[in-house]
Amino acid sequence: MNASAISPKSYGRLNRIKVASRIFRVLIGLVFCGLALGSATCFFGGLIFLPRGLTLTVVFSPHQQILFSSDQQFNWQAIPYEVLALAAVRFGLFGFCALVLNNLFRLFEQGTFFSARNVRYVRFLGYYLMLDWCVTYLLEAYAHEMQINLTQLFIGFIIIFTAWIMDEGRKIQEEQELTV
Amino acid sequence: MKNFQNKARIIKASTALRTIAFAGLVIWAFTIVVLLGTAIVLPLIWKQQFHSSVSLFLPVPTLLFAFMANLKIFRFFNRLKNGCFFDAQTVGNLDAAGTWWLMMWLYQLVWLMVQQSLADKLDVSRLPVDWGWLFAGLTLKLFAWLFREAQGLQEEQELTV
Repeated sequence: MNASAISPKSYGRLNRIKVASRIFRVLIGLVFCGLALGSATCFFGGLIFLPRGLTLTVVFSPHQQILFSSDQQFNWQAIPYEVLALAAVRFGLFGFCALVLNNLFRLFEQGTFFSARNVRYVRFLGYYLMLDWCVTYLLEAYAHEMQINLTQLFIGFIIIFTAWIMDEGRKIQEEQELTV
Repeated sequence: MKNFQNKARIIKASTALRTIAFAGLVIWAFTIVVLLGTAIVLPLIWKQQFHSSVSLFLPVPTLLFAFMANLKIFRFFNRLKNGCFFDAQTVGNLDAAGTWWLMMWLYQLVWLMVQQSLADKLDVSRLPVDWGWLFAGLTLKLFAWLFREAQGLQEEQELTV
C-alpha cells in the first residue's frame, strides 16, 4: 500500500477546490472587464460601441452617485476634485484587490493552499476592506451623510484573523515538508 | 517565539470573537421567542385572520437558520480559543456554519416569493435578494475546505514518527 497516495475523498475535495477557484477566477475576470468597459463609457461617452441612449449610474459611495449617458461626454469638472481623487483611490484599490484575488485563486487552482504568498494575499484582502471602509467614509463625509456602519471593518478583521490561522497551516506544511 | 506569538494572538482574538458570537446567540434566541410569542398570542387576543398569522410565522425559519449558523460559529471560536486550530470538530463547525448560512439564503428566496404571492405581487425578476448572504456562506465553505486540508496535514504530521 502506498502511504503517500491521495485518498479518493481527499482527491475529490481537492478537485472541488480547483473547480471552484477556476469559477471564481472567471467571475473576477468578468467583473473586471465589465468595470473597465463601464469606465471607458464614462470617459469617452459616445465613442464606445454601446447602444445609444444607455445610461450608467456610477456609485462612488452610497450617497455619491453620478449618472452617465453613452450619448454625451460627461463634464468631469462638475464633480469636486476631492471626490474624484477619493473615487480614483477606491477604484484603484478595487482593481488591485481583483488582481490579488485572481492570484490567490490561481494558487488554489495549482493546489497551493498554505504558502507565505497565500497568507499575504488573504491578509491584504482584510486590509483592503478596512482601507475601503475609510475611503467610503470620507466620500460620505463630502456628501454630508456620515452613517457609521462597522460591518465592513469587522469583516476585514475576520479575514485578517483567518490569515493568522492560515499562517499556522503554512507552518504545519513547512514542518511536514522538512520531515524526512 | 514568533510561532508562539501568532498562536497567542489567535487565542486572544478568538476569545473576543466568541463573546461577540455569544451575544449574537442571545439576541437571536430572544428574537425567536418574541416573534413566536407575537405570532401565537396576537391572533388569540385580536382574533386576526389566518392570512396575517401565516406572514408572522414566515420569518421564524430564517431566524432559526441564523441561530444555528451563529451557534456553529460560536463553537468554532470556542475550539480556537482552546487551541484546537485544525481538528475535525473545528473544521466541521465552520463547514456547518457555511451550510446553515446557505440554507438561510435559500429560505430567504422562498420567504420573499411567498410574501409577494400573499400580496398578489409575485415577480421573480424583482425579488430583493441579499446576495451578501450567499457570498458569506460560500466563503465559509471555501475556508472550511482549506482548513480541512490543513487538518489532513496535521493528522499526517501527528502520525509521523
